[in-house]
Amino acid sequence: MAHHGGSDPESDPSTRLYNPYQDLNLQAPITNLYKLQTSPEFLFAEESLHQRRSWGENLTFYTGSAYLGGSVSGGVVGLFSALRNFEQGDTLKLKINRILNSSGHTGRSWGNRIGVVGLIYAGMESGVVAATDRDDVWSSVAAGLATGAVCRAARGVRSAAWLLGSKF
Amino acid sequence: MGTPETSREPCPDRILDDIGGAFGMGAVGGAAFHFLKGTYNSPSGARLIGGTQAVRMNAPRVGGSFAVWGGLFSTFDCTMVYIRQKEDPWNSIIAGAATGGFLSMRQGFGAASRSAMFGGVLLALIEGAGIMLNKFLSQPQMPIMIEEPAPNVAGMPGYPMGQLPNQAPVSVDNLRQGSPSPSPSSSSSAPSSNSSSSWFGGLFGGGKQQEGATAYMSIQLFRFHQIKPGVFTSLRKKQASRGICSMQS
Repeated sequence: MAHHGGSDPESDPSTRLYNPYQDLNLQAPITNLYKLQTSPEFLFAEESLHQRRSWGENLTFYTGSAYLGGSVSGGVVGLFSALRNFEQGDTLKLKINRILNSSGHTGRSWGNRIGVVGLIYAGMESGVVAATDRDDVWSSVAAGLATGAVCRAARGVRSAAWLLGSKF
Repeated sequence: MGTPETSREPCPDRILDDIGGAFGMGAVGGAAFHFLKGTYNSPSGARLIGGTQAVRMNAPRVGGSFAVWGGLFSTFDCTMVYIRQKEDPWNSIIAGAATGGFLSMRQGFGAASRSAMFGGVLLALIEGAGIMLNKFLSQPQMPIMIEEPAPNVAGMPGYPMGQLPNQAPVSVDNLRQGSPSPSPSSSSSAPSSNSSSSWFGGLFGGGKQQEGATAYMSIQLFRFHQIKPGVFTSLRKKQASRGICSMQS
C-alpha cells in the first residue's frame, strides 16, 4: 500500500513505514514510503481472531523457559552453597571444582524438576485450549490446577498405589 | 518460502525453543523407554508400579540431558551465525563439535577432543541426511526426455529455474553449460553424488551458479529444519532425582 495523504503513520500503531530501496544506497532521494502492517495479515476477520499459538510453540516455549529458569536459579543457589562450604586449606583448583560440582548438580536437579512441571503445564494448557476453544486466563488457571493435581497424584498417591500394588 | 510465522524463530528466541523442544523430546522419549524397561524388570504383580517408578526416576534426567545438549548446541549455532553472518550447514557442524567438546571439557583435553569429533561427525551426518532428504522431496517433475542426454544435470533440482516444468529446456541448457562436475556412472546415483560435489564445490570457491544452488538448498534446509536429537556425552554417573514433581527436599 502506498502512503496515503490523510492518515498520520505515527499515530497508527498497527502499521509501519517502509522504504523499498532502503538497502540499496541509491543516489536519488526517496519519493515513496509504503505503510506495511506490523501484524500478520489475514483475509477473514474470524480467522485472525482464531489464530493463536500452536501446541508445539506452546510446548517449546513453556518447557524451555521453565527449564532455563530452573537451572539458572538452581545454579545460582548451588554457587552460593559452594561458596559457603569452602574449607580452610582449599587450593584454587579445589574451589573451582567445588563450585562447578555444586552449581552443576543443583542446577541440573532444579532444572529437571521445574522443566517437567513446565512440560506438563504446557501440555495441559494446549489440551484445555483445544477442548474449550477459549484462550483466556481461565484456561491457564485450569491448566495450572491440572498440573498441580498431576504432581500431587505423583507424590501422594504413590504410597497408596505402592500398598495396593504389593497386594496383587 | 513460507510466511514468517511458519519458519524458525530468529536467533535469540530459537535457543529457548530448542531447549524446550529438546527437553520435551527427551522427557517423553525417556518416559516411554524407561516405562517399558521398568515394567520388564519388575516382579509380576508390581509391574505398573515399577514402570511408573522407573519413569519418575529417570525421565527428568534424560530430558535434562537432552535439554543441556540442545541448548548448548543452539547457543553455539546462533553464535556461529552471528560470527559468519550467513546460515548454512557448516554452522551446525561446528556447533555440534563445540558442544561435544564443551560438555567433556572437565574430563581433559583428549576426552574433549574425542567428544568434539564425535559431535561434529554426528552433526555432519544429520545435515547431510537433511540435505539429501530435502533434495529428494523438492525434486521437480521433469519430463523424461530431459534426463537422458544429460544425467549430471538432472541432479541439480535445487536450482530455482528448474522448478517450473515449462522452463525446463531452457534451464537444462544453462545448467549444462555452467556445471563443471563430472557425470557419474548411473543416473540414479546422479542426484546424491552430484549434489555433494556441487555443495562442496560451492563452498570451496565454485561458480556463482553453484553458490546460488547451495544458498537455495540451505534456505530449503532451514525451512524443514528439525530440532537435533541429543547425545549423551557426559560420563559422570548422575544420582536419580527424587521424583517428577517433588519440590520440597
